[in-house]
Amino acid sequence: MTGPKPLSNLMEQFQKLPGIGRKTAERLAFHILKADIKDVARFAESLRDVKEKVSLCSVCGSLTELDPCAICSDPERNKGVICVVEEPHDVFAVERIGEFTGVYHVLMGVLSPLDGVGPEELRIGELVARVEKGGVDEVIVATNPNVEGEATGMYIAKILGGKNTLVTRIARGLPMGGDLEYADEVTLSKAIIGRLKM
Amino acid sequence: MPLYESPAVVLRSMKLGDTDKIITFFTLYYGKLKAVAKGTTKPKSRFAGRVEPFVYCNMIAFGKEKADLLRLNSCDIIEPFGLVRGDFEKLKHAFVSAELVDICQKERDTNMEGFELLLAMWRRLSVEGDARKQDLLLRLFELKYMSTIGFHPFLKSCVDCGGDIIGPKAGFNAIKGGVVCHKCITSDPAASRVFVGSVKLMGKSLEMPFEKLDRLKADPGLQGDIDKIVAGFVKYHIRRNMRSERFLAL
Repeated sequence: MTGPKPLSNLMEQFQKLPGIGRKTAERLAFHILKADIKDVARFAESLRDVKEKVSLCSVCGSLTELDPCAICSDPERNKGVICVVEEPHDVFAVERIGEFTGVYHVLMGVLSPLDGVGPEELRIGELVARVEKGGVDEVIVATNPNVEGEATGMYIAKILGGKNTLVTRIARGLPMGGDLEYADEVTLSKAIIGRLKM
Repeated sequence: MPLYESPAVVLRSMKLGDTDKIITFFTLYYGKLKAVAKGTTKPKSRFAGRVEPFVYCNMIAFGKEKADLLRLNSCDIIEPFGLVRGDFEKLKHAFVSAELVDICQKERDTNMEGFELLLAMWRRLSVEGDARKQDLLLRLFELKYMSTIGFHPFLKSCVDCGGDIIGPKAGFNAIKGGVVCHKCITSDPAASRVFVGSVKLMGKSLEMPFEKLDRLKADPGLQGDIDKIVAGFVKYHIRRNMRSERFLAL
């Protein structure tokens, strides 16, 4: 592209972001060019901060500024219940409902035989160590309800089998506001299997 | 724009962007096809459970004649294979079978026999409770599937001299694609030593329909042999290690 080098550099950087193509990168770069210098400085500072100050919690693996994270160091949280999730952003999703009072464990992925991701590539060993330390009554497997998520859940249940800890799986079934008529057979069968007494 | 409508099984799915997925189908009429399923990861998606691996469905996709990636229009489940997905042991075997087909099957290259074989394998896996029997079924599936794509192992007589296979021990040479008799094995360093019983069992399985393979029984010695022979044979022809293979040990 022709034009000032700093501008083309900026476009190039934007284009590296997921979902951003040449046109969007161009629009964003021109927006930055027109923006107030203070806003741009704050934007640059936030970018640097997020890389410098945010790290993974040594206990649960979620994103944090302090180690251990606010959830792991909160005395009010129930350390006897661990919710196992795939990625750090899943912690935010569960926290948003505001009903879970236990702690988390982030696996950093799921077992994926076709992609060659095995237990060694995930934080499953750390989960076993947390359970073996004692005081864990329940492990809730909250991986995504797809084949890889299910396989990971079943593997966790298998290796925690003899450790006197209850391993549960989040319920799977119909979404709120969904229509039974349009539900697929796999989802509907999970909903029937996971039905609850009223 | 051509429409592709066919019974199909889902071999794998891969995330594309935030909510879309690329689904690899093995179809009855078109061979392997890849299609984008839009919005699949959203909770209210009409595709969600329909495009999960190991689902047997009727798919409709559209796209240009030579397009690598089609667009999925609809997918109706014929058999969900829930029992396979709900059991870790069965799931491991299903993953290996799906990976083998995904690696070997060329896109838009029909293989009706291979398709029926994969379906038969997953149906058998659904009801087979014995893990050792599942291992044997998987190896025999691999052998039969390789045969459907042109790699038929030669098990009737020696690949070196053409002589009969007798005696308790023989050899198997993956490069030559067949069995080596007790006389030639000494001059064939690439052949691995195996029981003649294993060779006979494999030979029998190639002539039988998959649905009847559960009649065949292998003791741990023969099972070990068959594991070794088939793994070597498959690896030689696909020229790589299968990623899902190591999961069988979990």
